[in-house]
Amino acid sequence: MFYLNTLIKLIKVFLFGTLFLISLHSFAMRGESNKFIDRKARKLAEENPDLVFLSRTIFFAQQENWDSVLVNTQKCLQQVKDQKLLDFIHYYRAEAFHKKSIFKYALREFDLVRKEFEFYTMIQFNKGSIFLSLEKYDEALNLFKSIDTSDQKRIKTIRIDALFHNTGVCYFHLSDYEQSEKYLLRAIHKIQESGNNTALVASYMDLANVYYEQYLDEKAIAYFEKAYLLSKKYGSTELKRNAANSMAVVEENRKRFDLALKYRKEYESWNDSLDDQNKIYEVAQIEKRLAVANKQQQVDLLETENKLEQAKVTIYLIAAILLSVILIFGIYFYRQNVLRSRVILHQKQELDLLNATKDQLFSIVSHDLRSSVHALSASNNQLKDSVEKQAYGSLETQLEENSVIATNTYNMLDNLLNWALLQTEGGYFKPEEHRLSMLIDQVAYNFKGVLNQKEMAFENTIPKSVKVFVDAESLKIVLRNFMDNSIKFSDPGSKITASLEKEEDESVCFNWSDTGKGMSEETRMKLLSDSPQLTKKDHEKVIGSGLGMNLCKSMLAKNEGKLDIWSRKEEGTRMIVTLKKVADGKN
Amino acid sequence: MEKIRILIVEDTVAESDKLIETLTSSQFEVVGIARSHQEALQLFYANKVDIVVIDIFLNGIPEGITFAETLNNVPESARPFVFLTSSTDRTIFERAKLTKPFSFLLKPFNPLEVLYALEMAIEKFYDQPDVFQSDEEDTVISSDFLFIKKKDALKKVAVSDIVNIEVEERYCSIFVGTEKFVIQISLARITNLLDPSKFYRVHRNHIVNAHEIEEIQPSDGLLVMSNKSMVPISDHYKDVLNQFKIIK
Repeated sequence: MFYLNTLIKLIKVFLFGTLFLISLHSFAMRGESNKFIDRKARKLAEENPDLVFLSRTIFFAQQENWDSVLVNTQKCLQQVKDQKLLDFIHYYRAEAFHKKSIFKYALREFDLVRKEFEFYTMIQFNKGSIFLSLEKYDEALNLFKSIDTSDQKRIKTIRIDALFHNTGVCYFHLSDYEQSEKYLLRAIHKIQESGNNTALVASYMDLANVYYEQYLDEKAIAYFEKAYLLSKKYGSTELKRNAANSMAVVEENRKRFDLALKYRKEYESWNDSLDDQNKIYEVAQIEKRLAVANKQQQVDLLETENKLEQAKVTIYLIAAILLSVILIFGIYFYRQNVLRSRVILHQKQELDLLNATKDQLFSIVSHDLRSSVHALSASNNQLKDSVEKQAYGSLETQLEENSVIATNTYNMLDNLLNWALLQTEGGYFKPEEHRLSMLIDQVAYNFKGVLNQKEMAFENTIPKSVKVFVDAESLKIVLRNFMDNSIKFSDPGSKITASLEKEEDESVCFNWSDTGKGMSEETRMKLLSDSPQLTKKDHEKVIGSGLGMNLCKSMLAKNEGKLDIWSRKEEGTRMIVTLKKVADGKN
Repeated sequence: MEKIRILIVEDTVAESDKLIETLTSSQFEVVGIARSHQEALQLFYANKVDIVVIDIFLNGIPEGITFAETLNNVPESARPFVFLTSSTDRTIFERAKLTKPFSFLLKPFNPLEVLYALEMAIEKFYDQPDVFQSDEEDTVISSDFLFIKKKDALKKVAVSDIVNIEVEERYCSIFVGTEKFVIQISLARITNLLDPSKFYRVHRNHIVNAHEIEEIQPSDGLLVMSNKSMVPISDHYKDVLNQFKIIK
């Protein structure tokens, strides 16, 4: 009894092997039962040419490349909203998971397929097979039994023999041997019709196990033998091994040890060959691993080389950039240098000119100053003599003379100071709105005495309303010089006039005219030229440095005004001054 | 009309003498000559001063600027002032400019220039530019005085002394006691510049000082002023009378 128990255990172990074989087997042959669904799916894919992923899915499913199927169906799911198409996609996903033995996900995908799906029988069958694999026999059996075997059209989509076989296996595990026998016999019947010998061997062995479990040894042995004989002809190594092992166990039970031994040996040999196969496979695996490692090494080497190359290129690039930066900086500094030296040269020239002017100025001023101070002292001596001689009659004229010399000297000194301030930019300068007529009156006030002495008249006809935008003090310097010059070069009894030439929106133009000696065209041009060079006057007898006109020009320029001169010899001179009328934002 | 009172801050006697001569001949009243900053402050607070003429350099240092800063910083003592200088030195001028001087007077100066500088100072200080030089107007109005240019002299009239004003086109006749001055000023400007709580317009051509009204004769539409002159009230301005509490 104990022996029998162990035997049963053994057989049960065997059964497991065959069972798996069958359920896997029924799937392994893709194409026979799947060709319907594939055909249908391809038709749908052709109807929707934009669904590239669907046709790809079908292609990969036929190639049994399940990973690709999973990827493509994932993309399909994002695109497709149609339920009918979704059924197909879920089916393919389930099939892929099933093939990859991820049963949990396979079941989930199958559950997502609607009952109205035309290949729903396949779903039920496959779900049953999964439950069978998970050893949930009740659920598996329920699913198998729910398949309506009378519906020819639907039953065609699955393998009826596999259905019967799996149902039988379920019953076997639930220990309902009667039903199990019935279904297995039906399966064998169907398999015999289809002529699939491998499946037949498995079915025979399962049936034999059923009988063996019921202690119907006769029947069992007959089927074991049948399976054994058939396996020798058609079965795979594993089948042959299992069949031989079963026979060995059976013969051993029947105490036919010689036969048992023979079967056992056969089993061993099949086992060995299977081991060999495994070994070969392992060696191949190792070789493959080695090859991969080798390749990896090469790849690493190449990568390192690549990195080195990259580093080299980077270094070259950096060097190039550095060099070009240096070059650019070099050029930039060189240019700066050139520009600077040019500016310096220009400044030097300007400075030289200014220096020359200064020298000239000093020579003139020292000469003029000396002569005028000398004249003053000489005149003073004369005055003293006159007082000593008590010749009071000539005193007044002598004093007048003295005063004129002093005034002229003062004016010259004043101009000199202003000129110096202008050169050093040291003067105070603040343009404001002033009434032109007012400023002229203020300047003229100081000349009243001199004018009276020379019996000259001054007239200012500029209307009080005319306003100019100037710095008052600098304009006064200009006017003072005009007045000074006009008085100097005019004969007694003549008249000096300040008159408005024209008043525009932004500028005012006025004339300062006298009827004096006038000047030559050459002198006029010199006076108006831009050079700071001082102009020696035509009338050498009259003291003067030419500084006054130069100052006038500069002062007017600073006030953004303009100066023009009209002059004829012996006819008179007219200074034409244009001044700004309004502030122009800058101030 | 009163003379305008000027304080001179100048250390050089020759210069101040010349200035005093010029100012007195231009009909200004010199109230004092300060020789130093200290003295200037003393004289300024001891006298009623309208304008200050300040020499930048006092005893060789630019103390004048310090005094000007003091004037600017104390609101009650703010007065128009004129910087008097012979220096054309830029740095000192820049510093002087910071005190916002109302005008500069450069040595040597003549009476015309002095008058011009003082006029400018008054115009700028009371922010009524270009009055004295124009042909249309001749009066700057401050809260206390009317500064009036008569020929080539500046005079002032205390605002509180004005009894009433009669407007005729571009001229205004100002009655102070029994005296009458004619000034050139537009009606719009005079009404804007006079304190509206003291001076009421009672007629198209008449403005009165409320404090100087002696009697109201509503039936005749006449106001009798303190100088016994009669000022008519027109219907249009009758509302003015509501401001007085009239006992009937």
